[in-house]
Amino acid sequence: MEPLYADDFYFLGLIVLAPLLGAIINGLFGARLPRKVVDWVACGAMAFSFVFALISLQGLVGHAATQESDGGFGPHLTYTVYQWIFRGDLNADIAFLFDPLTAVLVLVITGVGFLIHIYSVGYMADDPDKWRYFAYLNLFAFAMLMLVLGQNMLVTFIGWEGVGLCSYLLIGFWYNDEKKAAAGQKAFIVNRVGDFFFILGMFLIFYTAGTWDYVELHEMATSTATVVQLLPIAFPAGLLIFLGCTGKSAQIPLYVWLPDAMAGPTPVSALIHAATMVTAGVFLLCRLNWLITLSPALMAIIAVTGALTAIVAASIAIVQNDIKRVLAYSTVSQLGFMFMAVGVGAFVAAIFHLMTHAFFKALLFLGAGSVIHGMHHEQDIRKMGGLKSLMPWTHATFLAATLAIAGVPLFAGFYSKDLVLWNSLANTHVLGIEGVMPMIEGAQNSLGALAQYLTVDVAPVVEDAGGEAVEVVSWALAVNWGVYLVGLITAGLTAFYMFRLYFMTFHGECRADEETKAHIHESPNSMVGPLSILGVLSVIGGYIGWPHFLARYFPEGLQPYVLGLEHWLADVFAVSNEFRLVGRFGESPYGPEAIAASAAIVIAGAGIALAYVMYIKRPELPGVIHERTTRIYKVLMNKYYVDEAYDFLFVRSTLWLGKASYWFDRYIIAGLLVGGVAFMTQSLGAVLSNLQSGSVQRYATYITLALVLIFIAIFYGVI
Amino acid sequence: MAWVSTLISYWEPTLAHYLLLSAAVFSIGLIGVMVRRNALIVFMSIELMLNSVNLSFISFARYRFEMDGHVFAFFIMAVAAAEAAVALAIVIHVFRHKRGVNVDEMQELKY
Amino acid sequence: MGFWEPLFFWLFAFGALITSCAVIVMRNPLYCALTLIADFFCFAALYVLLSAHFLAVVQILVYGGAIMVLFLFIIMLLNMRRVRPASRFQVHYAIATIAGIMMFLFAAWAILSAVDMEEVAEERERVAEQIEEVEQEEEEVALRTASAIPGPEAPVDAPVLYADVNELAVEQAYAQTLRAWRDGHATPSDHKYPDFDPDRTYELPPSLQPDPEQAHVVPGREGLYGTFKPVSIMLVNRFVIPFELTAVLLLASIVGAMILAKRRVA
Repeated sequence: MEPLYADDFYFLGLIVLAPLLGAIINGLFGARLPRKVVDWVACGAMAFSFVFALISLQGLVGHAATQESDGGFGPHLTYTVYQWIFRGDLNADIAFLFDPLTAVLVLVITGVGFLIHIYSVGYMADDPDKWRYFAYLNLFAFAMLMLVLGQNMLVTFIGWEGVGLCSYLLIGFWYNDEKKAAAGQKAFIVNRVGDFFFILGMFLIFYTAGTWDYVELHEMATSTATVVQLLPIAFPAGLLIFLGCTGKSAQIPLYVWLPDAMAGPTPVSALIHAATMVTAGVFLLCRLNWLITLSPALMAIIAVTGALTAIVAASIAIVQNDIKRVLAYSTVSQLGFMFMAVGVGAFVAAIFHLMTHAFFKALLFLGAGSVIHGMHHEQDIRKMGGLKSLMPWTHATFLAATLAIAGVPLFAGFYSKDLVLWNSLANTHVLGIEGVMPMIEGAQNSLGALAQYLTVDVAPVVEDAGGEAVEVVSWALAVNWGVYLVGLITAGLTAFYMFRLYFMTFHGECRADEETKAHIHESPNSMVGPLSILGVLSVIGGYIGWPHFLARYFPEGLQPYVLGLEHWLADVFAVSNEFRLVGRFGESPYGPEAIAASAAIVIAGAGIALAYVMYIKRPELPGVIHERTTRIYKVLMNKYYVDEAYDFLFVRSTLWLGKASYWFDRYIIAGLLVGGVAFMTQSLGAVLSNLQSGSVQRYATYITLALVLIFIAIFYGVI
Repeated sequence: MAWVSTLISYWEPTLAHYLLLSAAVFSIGLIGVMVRRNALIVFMSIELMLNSVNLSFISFARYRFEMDGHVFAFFIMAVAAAEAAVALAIVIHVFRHKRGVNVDEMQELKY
Repeated sequence: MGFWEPLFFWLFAFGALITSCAVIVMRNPLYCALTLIADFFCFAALYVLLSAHFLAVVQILVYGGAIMVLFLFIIMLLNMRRVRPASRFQVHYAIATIAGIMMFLFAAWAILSAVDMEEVAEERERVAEQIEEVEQEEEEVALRTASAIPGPEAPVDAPVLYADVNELAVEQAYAQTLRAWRDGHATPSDHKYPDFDPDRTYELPPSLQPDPEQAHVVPGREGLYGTFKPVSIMLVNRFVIPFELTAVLLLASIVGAMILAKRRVA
């Protein structure tokens, strides 16, 4: 299919346009439209967007078939809506870019987004402000699509700010509740801190490279002649952008907003705070993979931050009792996994985990929403239990998602999580090792030859012998080992707390009060339908990325599919994967890979078993443990006192600064300066007000008189 | 015979004559707008100004052998017709409110 | 040219001046309106002298007819004599009068400083000679052919500084323009838009194409300067969008006038 030009593929514009139109219609007229129409407009917009995304995907596949892989940006479709800024060196168009990476994200956003819209129809059925909700939700989809489709960083930034705004609006959707409004503000402010770093990073990139266009930047970062320009800023710019991502994607130190964001409606948590917006940071780092892989130190920082976030959030999740909070911390933890993957250079694994996480975490949130809906807005899992028989569909889908996130084989989460863990163990960074750097700068040969030199000649030397290079690599190896072990422990914790949540919610005695118990019911079809679809996806979603040691047993015809994601994204990450990273275990490390996978399965099984023992077999155990470890429990319960520390460090100091500024403003600025100016103006005004008689004819006379004076000035050459 | 042609050149109207006439009528209209108190006469003065501009347009059109000026004058007439209709409606409206159409009694603009 | 045509110019020019003054001097609005009508007729006559026949007619119809009837109707409807207050002098009236007169003086200065009267005289003699030649040629042609007299080439090569080149010369110049449009040497858009693609041919619709037979007829009969046809050609071509917008404007003013003037139902 090649009816449309690859550089003018207008369906990209339509993908974005559909939700925008939906938002405009619902936002402007929603209050006066019938509720059914509001539903149809919102869901229809997402459905159209999904269809356009599928058409674009087909176009991309068709385009890729005609393209030779030339080591460039790889196959991509673009569409320029209009030229926005073209002044001097600054060129920024409203332009969209659709490459394999974007394709995955767009399909997840529009597909999962569509399911969540349908679910919302049922979930928000009783809310009088439903139209506002759907307008925000569509606006969010629009902004998110702008973010992932942007061809330059400026468009991405528009989307980046847009999703932040929509997130704020939706968290504070029930703004009458002061706590919820405050949660929205917290999310917005914390995000702004991250966005500020993001802007700085953008400016640094523009200052150095002179462009914001991803394709042009990619070209710069991959050719030997120009990469030297980017090398010095790779670390600072990458770090700034990564800090921006920590805000949006809820990583240490800016993760504090996400648990509070659960104040919004549950479908919002599913769409924005699990499936799409919070993964924007992962997406952006993957989009800029050729930039961040230039700096191994930055990669190490990202990996360590991700691992720390993963384990900290998982440890907090163990003791939380609010069903949504457990899921929120679990989301933070899984995002940590993704950043870990990015940090060790496993970009495919990061995107893979992003995708499967979107499926099963959206499902978990929607399942939780279904439970909350059925329990009449009860969120405390200590008051649930035994819902298995009362809500069979919710239970079945929730179980599928729990198995997926716990990493049980044959469920989606296993494949992606295993890939992340395996890559964190196996990948090593080769470019930028101290001592090799001068060689790059002096290199006159092509990048391919350089990479050949690096991968073949340097890497074994690094592993075997001494010298300065070994020191650096042993440090990098320590990072990798540390990240891997932390990831493994986190996987175990994940399995444990997720099954704790599952057992407490669906098994055992029902601990709800009698009145609630009588009303527990299965949710309507519009909610169960999306749950089932996502349930299926949570199972089969991982079958496009089997571990290599298993993939080879599949028949020849299936090979492109069992490693589908890796092949699909190969061009996007080609530079990083082929030239800058290397596997430590050689070409076909099936043995180590199998061992790593077994370790992951065993630790997941251990977590599940522990949860089973503690919450089904011997329900008195948690209490006992609790009494013995009161202190640790308290620290965990209070989330390591991070909120309190932030409150002391930033909020209080800001308040003090505010008070001082208030005094200065009140007495110096307002009293002396403004008051003085006001006095002068008042006196002058008293004189001048005589001129303003209100008579039109006088005004006309003034105008004529002024004209005459101007003429006189011209006549006598004054002007 | 040079003085004859000079004399003739003053007797026969040129572009300058028409423009001077136009300027004179425009100024008269302008003074009318500024000094007359009756709103209706103010509008009549505005019509005078519009007409003087039309005269300039047509003189220039004739001077350049083009007819674009005619089209402009035509549009001005259309606008003047619309303006007269609305203006007179306003006068009626004001008259009902104030029992008078004196411009210097309408000083609400200063508030 | 000659004596009589300028005489009419002076007649109507002074008529216009006097009636204009009367409009702003008369005390009774009714007299003002009546002198304004006379003024509009003077203007119409001046338009005729400027060969703007179509606009002269429109002036009488629209201004002298429609608008002034509306004015008179309103004056009589409101019956303003009763509410007329005692006139009292205000300082800004004097200022306004002086400012208005100064405006005129500056305009006159600007106009006269742009005109060199000697140059005017020279031009006039040159054109007079040309026209004489043309007339002689025409007489010769008229002797040769009994019926239709084909028009000669344009007698003037550039715009001259007069308003009053004789009717014949103006119309022939305009006929040449129309011929150029028809033959494709020029388009109505020429020199109007500097960015316009000059190579793009501009086709008049068939109904508006100047008749090739008629184009050689002696000008002054039809389809020529200042008459209805060229104005309408321009209105439906180059100025079609303003023309349509005028319709919208008129509609809006009708609706606005009705809403403003209707009596409010309490």
